Amino acid sequence: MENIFRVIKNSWRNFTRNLWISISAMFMMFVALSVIGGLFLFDASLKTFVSGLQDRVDVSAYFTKGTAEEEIIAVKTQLENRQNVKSVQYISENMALDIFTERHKDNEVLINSLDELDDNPLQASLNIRVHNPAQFDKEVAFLENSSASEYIDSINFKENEEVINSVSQISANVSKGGFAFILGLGLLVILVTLNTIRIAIYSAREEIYIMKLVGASNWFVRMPFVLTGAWYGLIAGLFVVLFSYLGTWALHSRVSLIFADIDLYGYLVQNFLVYFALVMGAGLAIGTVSSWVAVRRYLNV
Amino acid sequence: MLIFQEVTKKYPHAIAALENVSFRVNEGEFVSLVGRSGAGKSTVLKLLLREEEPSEGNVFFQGVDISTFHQKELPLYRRKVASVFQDFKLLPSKNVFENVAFAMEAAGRLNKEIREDVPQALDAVGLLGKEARFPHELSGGERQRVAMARALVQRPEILTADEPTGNLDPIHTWEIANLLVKINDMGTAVILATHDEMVINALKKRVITLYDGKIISDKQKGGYKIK
Repeated sequence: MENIFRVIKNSWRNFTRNLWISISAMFMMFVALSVIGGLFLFDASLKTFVSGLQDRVDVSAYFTKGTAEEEIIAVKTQLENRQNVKSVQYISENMALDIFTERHKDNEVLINSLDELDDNPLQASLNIRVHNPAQFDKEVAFLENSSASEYIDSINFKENEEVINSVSQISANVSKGGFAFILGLGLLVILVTLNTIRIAIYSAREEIYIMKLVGASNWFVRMPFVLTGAWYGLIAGLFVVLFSYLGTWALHSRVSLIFADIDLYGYLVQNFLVYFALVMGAGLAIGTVSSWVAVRRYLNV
Repeated sequence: MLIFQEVTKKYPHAIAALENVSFRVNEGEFVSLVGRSGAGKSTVLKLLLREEEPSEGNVFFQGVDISTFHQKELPLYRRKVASVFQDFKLLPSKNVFENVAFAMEAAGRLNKEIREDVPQALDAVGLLGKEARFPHELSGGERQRVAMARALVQRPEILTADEPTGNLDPIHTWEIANLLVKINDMGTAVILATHDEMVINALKKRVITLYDGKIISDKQKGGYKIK
């Protein structure tokens, strides 16, 4: 037990003895861990964004002008009985006009040109939401093959689908690119840490020599240097977690204004343990692996 | 206890540092290795500590060839063979007590033992009361005595001393020589490598004389013969 305490004490001395070199190694590790943590948050926010979009996807079936309201209500009832359909909203021609007028109230040209028309040019529609957006095709096919198809002028859902697909594609590409970036950066950080530990070994060469002379075990000589690398990772990791909190908290209100669905701060609070374990675990792994390699290569016992 | 058996040590691109050297050191014996610089004295001590491996021949300690020690066994062996050097090899950032305690910590000894043994060792070398001083605050002789206290806490079976008086004035040289005799009287075998004629002639102990890596004489109660 006393020996373990001594090893920890020695590892901390290695850390403080070459403080500026330690700080530079930790800075590199901080950058690498920030990228890892940042990708985790970026991935989460993209997923939230996509699921928000999917939630908003609806199929709008537009009915030809003059279709009787009963016919439309009949179609609505048929749709509501279907398993995958979450909700169906009927928007009459008049409601459509109200919505259009409200939405474009600041656009005088549009409103004036609408006033020039004798009739309401907008069509009645049914807005359909489903539980599983992947099965929109089935609902569209159902409408096209139903008895109501003769009243249906057009069915529109393609646009949102394309947005969803492209965002999902971006998410996948970022994950792949990010992984490659992390691998490259990780290698660089391992090299920097390895050389930092090498300098620590060089600075402590007198002590190491005396330790060997008096019969210190290999474990007692080597372990402090391995632990020093672990300190770098853990301290850099703590800073990354701290800055992630401060950063997402500061951005919290601004991002929410633009993307209502994305609340990184809330996500971080909710997934604190996973995020903490990911960042600290990565820091510990990078630090320990690089110092272990340095000790194996440069510290002869 | 210690046997050098036909040991030769050759370094790459150099002549042999030791050539076919054989001798035996018994328990509690005091042996001086003398010779000019480059005669092979330090090589003998390095081979004994297994800092170097013989090119030919064997070194036996208590009947075991030390080249057979596994990496994990080596520390245990080295605890039995303590060393002091001409340049003391003290840690400048540690005070006297810490320098001695450091050796015990590294050897995995308990704090309780350290608190008991360090003052005893410092008392034996006459440094009690100077525990808090740092190496730069001590004279050369005192520094060497700290190094000897550090060796003593190992409770070694052999103490090797490589030119321990090389950096000292005559008064401090005598202090150290007397201390080596005192440690030897307590039962520890001492191997002293030196070219200090005055010390060798005063000790009247066994002397092995090396010349160009070869033993040219090995005499009980010998004197310094190299001119």
